[in-house]
Amino acid sequence: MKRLLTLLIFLTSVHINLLKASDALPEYTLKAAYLYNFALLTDWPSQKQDTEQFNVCLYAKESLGPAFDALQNKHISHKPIKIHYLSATSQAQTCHLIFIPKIRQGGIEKILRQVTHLPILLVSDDEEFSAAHIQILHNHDKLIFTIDTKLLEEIGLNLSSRLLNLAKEIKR
Amino acid sequence: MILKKIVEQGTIEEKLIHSNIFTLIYAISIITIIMLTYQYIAIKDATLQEIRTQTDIIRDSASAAVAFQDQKAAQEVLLALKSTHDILEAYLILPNHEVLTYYLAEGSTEKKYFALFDPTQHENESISLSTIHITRPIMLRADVVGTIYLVGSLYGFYTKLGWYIASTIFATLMALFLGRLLAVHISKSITEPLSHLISTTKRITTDNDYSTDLTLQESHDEVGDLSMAFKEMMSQIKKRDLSLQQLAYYDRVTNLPNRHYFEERISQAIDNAKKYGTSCYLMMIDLDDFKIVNDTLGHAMGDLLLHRVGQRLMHTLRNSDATFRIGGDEFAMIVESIPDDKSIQHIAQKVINAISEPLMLDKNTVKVGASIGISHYPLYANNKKELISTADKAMYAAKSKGKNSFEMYTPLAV
Repeated sequence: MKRLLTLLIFLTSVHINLLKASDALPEYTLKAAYLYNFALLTDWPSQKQDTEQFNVCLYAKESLGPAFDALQNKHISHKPIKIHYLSATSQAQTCHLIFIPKIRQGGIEKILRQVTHLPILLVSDDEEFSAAHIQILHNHDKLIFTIDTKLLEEIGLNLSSRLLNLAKEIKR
Repeated sequence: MILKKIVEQGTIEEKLIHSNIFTLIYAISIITIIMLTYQYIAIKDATLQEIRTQTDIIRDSASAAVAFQDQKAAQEVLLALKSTHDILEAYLILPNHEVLTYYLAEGSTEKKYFALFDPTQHENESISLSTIHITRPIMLRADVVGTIYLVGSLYGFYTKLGWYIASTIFATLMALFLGRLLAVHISKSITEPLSHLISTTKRITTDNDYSTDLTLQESHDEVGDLSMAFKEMMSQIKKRDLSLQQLAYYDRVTNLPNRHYFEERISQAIDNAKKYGTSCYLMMIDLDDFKIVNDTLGHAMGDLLLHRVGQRLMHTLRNSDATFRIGGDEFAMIVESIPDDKSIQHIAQKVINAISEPLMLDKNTVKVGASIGISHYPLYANNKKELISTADKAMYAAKSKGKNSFEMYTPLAV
């Protein structure tokens, strides 16, 4: 019981840290927490469960890093999260989730070509980026998100209905 | 105390009814207590379980909303609680102890119970007299993303329990009522043969008539046995009555009715004659020379002689009830429905002939005779006493005339 409580308190504190990472851009800290929740609420196909790590790939400069640091201590499907920074020429097939921020370097086309038809979750906060499966958007001072189920269906990724319920818009 | 009262007072029927009802109450009480205890536990468990399940459902449905801190979505989840009446308040609390959203039961405007929420506890449950307070962590997969604090009302539990107690009381009263009817019926069926036996016994005692035929109800229990025993006893009494009657009314030497019987029969004959306007004759028969036989051959031979004479007399008259031995060597005959003196004289002669016939008594030939006096009612007597005395007088007249003769009583003859 005591151990369980300790674990609970620990897990809670991790979550608090995630939401309140102080030295990073607060906006991206929140987005990092969103990414984590998206990953949690996605049913990963078996081919994506054979890996030793859960690869969260950021198509960004490492300066965005501190906001995502808290993710490194966490697990998805019992696998530790590993943060990777992608460049235009990186290999992206092993990623589970790719986050494409609005502020990014260079064209994304090459990466996209690699991952087309692969069960890799593409999340972006760029409303112009139409290839994203989930788009995180700003609504006044709040974050909302939309989900493109049509694209998800094509690559064979299933999101939990609980996540779908929370989406502001679902593209079919 | 009550038990003692039941055992000591009243009729068997009442005792049976009371003991049946007492047993019934005893059994029903135990069943009721067990059932109520069981129901109390079961209903309370079910109510609590229902509230716990509600909590779990809300917790799971709200987990994603809490994880994304989506207040609107979380509010929508909590609104589902509107359909239940057991939930008073519910709070979705973020890890920083901020309330994301909350729900208050219809009609309630203030957060009555939130002060009781302990933010240091992630998993807790406390039950007061009227409420249950549940605190559970909200998990997203393995992560704790918040806490749900829910207050449920036990009003539903008390309502259900109340209904159950009411229906149990009703069922108990019904069972007692039907049980009483059944107890009365059973007790009656057991005691009825007994009552019948008692009334029969009372009737026999008051009527003093032991020859009453017993019509007892057949039953194969102890009462049946008692009835059979009673019947058997009655038949024994009847038998003993008969043998007593034999002793009281019959002479043991001759087997003829004795003086006692004679007295009753002569009264009866006179009564009949009076009633129907008929008449009757009385013959007094005295043996001649009997004393000689008794003295020379002994009393045993004397008795044997009397026995043989008795038999001969009986054969002379068709009606065996009409011949009596009324003294040592004295006999009497009551003859009714005879038209005239001639007929009675004919009978008297037949009697004399029968008695004077020689007898073989243990190799001794004995000859005795008879002197007969005859009287008539109502010609020579007005009553029993006169009838006997006139017949006696006639008999002495016959004796003085000589042996083996008869004499009709006439006022002139004496």
